[in-house]
Formats: sequence, structure tokens, C-alpha cells
Amino acid sequence: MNKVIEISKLNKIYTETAVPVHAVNDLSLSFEQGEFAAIVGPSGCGKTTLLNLIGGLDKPTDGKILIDGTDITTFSIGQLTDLRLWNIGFVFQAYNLIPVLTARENVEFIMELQHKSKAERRARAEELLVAVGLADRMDVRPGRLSGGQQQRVAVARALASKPKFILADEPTANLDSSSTETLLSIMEELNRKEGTTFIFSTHDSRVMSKARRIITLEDGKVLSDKTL
Amino acid sequence: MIISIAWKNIWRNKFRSFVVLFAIAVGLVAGILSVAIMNGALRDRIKIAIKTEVGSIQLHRADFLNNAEPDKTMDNAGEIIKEIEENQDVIAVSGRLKLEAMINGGHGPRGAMVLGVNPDSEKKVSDLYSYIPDSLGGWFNTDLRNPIIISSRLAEKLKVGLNNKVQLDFVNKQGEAIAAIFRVCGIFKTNNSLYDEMKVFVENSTLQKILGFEENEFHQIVLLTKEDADLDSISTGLKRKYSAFSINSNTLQNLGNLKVDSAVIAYFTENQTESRLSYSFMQELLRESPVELSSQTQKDILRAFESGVSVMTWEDAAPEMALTSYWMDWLLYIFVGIILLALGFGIVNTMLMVVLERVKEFGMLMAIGMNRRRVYMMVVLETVFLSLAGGVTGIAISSILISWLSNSGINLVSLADGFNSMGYSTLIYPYIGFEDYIKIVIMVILTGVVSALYPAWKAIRLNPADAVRSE
Repeated sequence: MNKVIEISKLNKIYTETAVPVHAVNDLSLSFEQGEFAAIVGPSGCGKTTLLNLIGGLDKPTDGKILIDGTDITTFSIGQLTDLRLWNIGFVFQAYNLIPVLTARENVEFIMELQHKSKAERRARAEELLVAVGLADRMDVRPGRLSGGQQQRVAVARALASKPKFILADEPTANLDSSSTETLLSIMEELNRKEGTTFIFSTHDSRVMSKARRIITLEDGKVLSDKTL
Repeated sequence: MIISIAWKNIWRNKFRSFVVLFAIAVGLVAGILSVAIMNGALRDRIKIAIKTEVGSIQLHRADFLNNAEPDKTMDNAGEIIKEIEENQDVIAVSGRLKLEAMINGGHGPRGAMVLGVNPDSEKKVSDLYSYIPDSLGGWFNTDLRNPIIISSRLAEKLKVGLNNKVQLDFVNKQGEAIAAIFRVCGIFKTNNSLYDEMKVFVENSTLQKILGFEENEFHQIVLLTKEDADLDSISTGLKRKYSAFSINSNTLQNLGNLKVDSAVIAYFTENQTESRLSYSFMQELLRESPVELSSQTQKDILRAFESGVSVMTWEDAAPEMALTSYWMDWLLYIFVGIILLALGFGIVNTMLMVVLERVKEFGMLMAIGMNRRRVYMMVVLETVFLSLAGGVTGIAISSILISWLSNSGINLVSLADGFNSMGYSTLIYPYIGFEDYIKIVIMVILTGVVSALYPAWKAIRLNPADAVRSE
């Protein structure tokens, strides 16, 4: 299959602390189109750092990250912003929706950044909100949605830009079991339907049980990489 | 959508936004109202000055202004008046004799400026007649011999009343001292105590009889123009037509049959600007002439020009008011500018709090692909909207207050002595022009933009990876 992400000999050392922290240590990995993968491991093992590096939110100390064959470690801030806008979807632990916009507007927002037409934005937002089961909550602001519903809007927003892959950092950490179950089913369905690669960092066994690949990190290194 | 988000964002913390909005509104109301009151007082003062004291435009013989001697009357004054009357923008024209005199009511003499007027035409250029209460006589509607109108202030100082006699001591055209008895036929009171103390009015015909002036012999021609008339253009037209200082290549040759060489003509022609056509300017030109002129030639040139006409707008005739009017324009910027500067610090503080509270949100926006320029623009827009909301509220309240006060007026009668000594009315009608409101809106927008610079810079300096995980 087509490799979307290729990481080789990636290192990230934080030197701002009293003792330098080797958060990602000589790590090499790759992800193919359509994967549904979970990165797991204890707190401080480097899961979030790895996602931040893949997502262009942080720069590695050395090593390479190829997205569709292009090394992004040499990109400027502007290029990384564009890369995130057009190629990567983000789902955050705390949902991070824009509180003054409705669910529909939150989903449309990223497409507006892409200068999509109003009609296209509206159609895509409605399609995705229906897909995540929020057809009747489209014009409601995040403050009036439950945590599970907000995270479903966040998933719809992440998919709205038609990204190559979605990075989800502990997406179920704030959700109850029923919401987690619903969210995972929706993401699985969208992964199958849209063919978008999903990469999670998680502690949650329910997420791990749905993942088709589990990468375990320890001290910034890959401890195991199992395809189920 | 960024505009919509920015607008909605300012209402996320309604209480805080209302506090800022209220502060801006109150500050602006205070500033605008202060400027409007000063503006209203000055406009009223200018209106009174034009309608009562100096007229819109005055014409004199050029050298009369430097040395107001009785013989310095204007040539062809009657013809000039007739020609000016034909101007569509001129409401009325009147000729005046203007003489320095001593006035005595029997309790000691005082200096006075005697204005010899034609009662009918004067009534059209000056509303001084309206300052004479019915109980204190009228505007020369009397059978008294040698009637005179004086102010109540002067009457008090001279200890005279209606129908009482006063003596005027003049110098006639020949330089001879002449004394004449006048009877008070009217007593006026304006809001300008200095004017009241100095000016007395008599009929032209009386002065002609006593001092030997001809019928159409005047020291001053006063004209009142329509309110919307372009004063500069009328004054320039009059200067071109009557002023001795309107120099062209023929003027110097023709005046007084002077023999002036072409270098002098070129020098005067090059240095002439319509706005500077004045007697003192002519003296300056002569002093600084690159071509050496003998003192006799200089005197000859000046003498030739002296008999010409000097044209002055009210701004030239009352330069202190023109200067105040000029400063009044700046006062708006200074007053509102200082208020907005102080408010600007409050806005910066508020927006810094906004950025601090929304670190996670800014991190998310940058993470999902919103570039720094847009994030910056969003913070700037929020600040401008917040400032504008306060600004518009302040302007709306101010305009309602000013509209109400401009009908009822603000009565400052308790400050009458101070106001009247400067010629200002104690009943002030605040005024501020539409263009001033536009200027204030622009200043508010600029305040918003400037206040946003630092908070917006703080927002775009955030690291999205850290910001998105912040608490």
C-alpha cells in the first residue's frame, strides 16, 4: 500500500529542562494509507511528542519525517501551517471547538481557511455531521453539546479538509464509555468509508481494542509494533 | 467568517466587554461634549463678531489701518459700494466713517471709537440695533439733534442716560480740534464688554455736517455675505479688483507715474501671492528687495500704494478669533486623542487578558492550519470592534446630548463677567460637525488597531503544540 508517513531516525531532545529529556529516541516508523493505528505506552513515553512532530507542530532535533515523500523537517512555519491545513486533521483531548460558532460553522471553518465555496462548505459539513450522528444538532453551539457530541464535531472538523491522515491525541480521555464506543464506531466507519488514515495516542484499552495496529512506545523508542 | 468570529468573540465575556465599552463611551462623551461646548461658544462668538462687530469683509484705504487719521478716506467709495451690491453672495454693504474721539458726559472724558453710519444700510450689515432694549431708546428713530448711541457700560461710566447730552472731541480732516454735543438716543448692551466700552454710533450725516466729510466719503466699507458664501473667493475677487497690492507688470508703471525698472517688477510679480496682499507685506517686499531702491523710491512706491484699498475678511479683522478657530480644530484631536490614549492602555490590558484566557483556542486555530496573519488579524478585528462599539455608543450618546443642548443651550450666567470680558455669550449652544464625528470614528479605529498590536503579537508568538495542551 501507499506510504503516507515515513519516519526515520527521529530524535527530539528537550534541552529547556534542567536535565535534557530525550522524548523521541532514534525512532523509525511508517504509516500506510487507510491505517487505523494506536500509539500506546505509559505517560512520558513520547506519544504526544511523536504526534506533534508528525503533525508539524514541533520540530525534531534530527531525523526525517516524510509526508507523501516530502521531508517536512526543513519546512518553514508558514509551510508547516499549510501542510496542516491541507494534509492533516487534528482531534484533541479537550475537543477544542470554537465556542462562538455552531457545530456546522465549526466544521465549515477549516474549509473557509481553504477558500472553499460556501455551497461546498455547507454540503461537506452537513454530510460529515450526519455521518457522526449530529444531524439534529448542527446549529447548536459547543456549550450546549455533551462532551461526546463535541468530540464528534471535532472528528467531523478534522475530516472536513479531506486530510491524508488524522492525528488524535487521547481523543477519548474525557469521554464516558458510551460516548467512547459511539465515537470509535464513527471513526472506524469513516476510516473505512473515506479511506483516511487515523493515528491515535491513547491509554484507553477500548481504543486499543478497535485499532488494527498498535505501536507501543517506551522512553521514546518503539517497544513493539503489532498489526492485528 | 473571521469577521463574524471576531465580533462574536467580544461578547463572550459580556461584563468585561461592557466595562471597556462603557469606559470608551463615557470618555468620548466627556471629550466630545467639551469640544462641542467650546466649539459652540466660539461659533457663537464668530457669528456675533461678524453680524455685530466686524462684518464678513471690510475694505479700508491701505494706510488707514496703520494710522487711522481722519483724512485717510477711500477714493471712489460710493462706486465701490454700488459695484459690491451687485455681488449675489453679498447680503448688504454699508460705508462707515471711523474716528477716534474723546467722549465726556460731565464726569471726566473717556476714549471712544466713533462709527459714523448710515442708519438704514448699517441695519442690514450689523444687528447692533437689536441689542437696544425698547426701554432704552432705539436705532436713530428720533427727532433729537445729533443723536448718538452708546453702550450701557459706557453710559454707566459716563454717568449719563437716555436723552442726556455728551460731548465728543474730534480732529477733522484738516487736523483741527472740533467739539460737538450729542444726545443719547439709544443704549445697547452686547456680550462683549470691550466692544461696548469703546464703540459709539452716530449718523454719517451728522459727522459730514460737523467735520466736513463729503456724502460718499468713508473710512471703511463693511459687507455682510451669505452664510454659505465662499469668503476667500469673494475677498480674492475684491482684492483683484480694488487692491493696490494686486501687482502685475503694468501696475507699478502706472501707479504714481513711477519709473521702476523691469527687475523690480519681476521681483514684485514673483513674490506676489493673493493670500499675502497686504500693506505690511508690501513694506516687507520693499525692505528685502534684491534691487537696491533709494529711500525716496521706496517712499514713492509706498505712497502710490497707500491710496489703494486693503481688503480684510473677518479673520484678518479679528485675528484672535481666527487663531482660536484654527486651534479649535486641533483641540478636537488633542482632547479626544488624550482620552483615547488613556483608554488605549485599558484596551491593551483587556486584550492581553483575552489572549491569555484563550491560549488553548489560539493554539488549536494555528494547529488546524490558520496562519499567523489571520490569527493576528482576528485579534486586531476583535479590538477594533470592541473600540468601535464603545466609540459608536459614545458618539450616539454625545450626539443626542448635543442635539438636546443645542436647542436648549447651556446657561452659564454665573460666569457672565468672565465670558463677557472676552466677548463670549453666556448661553452656549454646543456644536460639533458631522465631519468631526467621522474624524472621531477614525481615531477610535486607530486606537483599536494600535491597542491590538501587542496582544495580537503575543497571540501569534504562541507555540501551537504547547498552547493546545495548556490549561
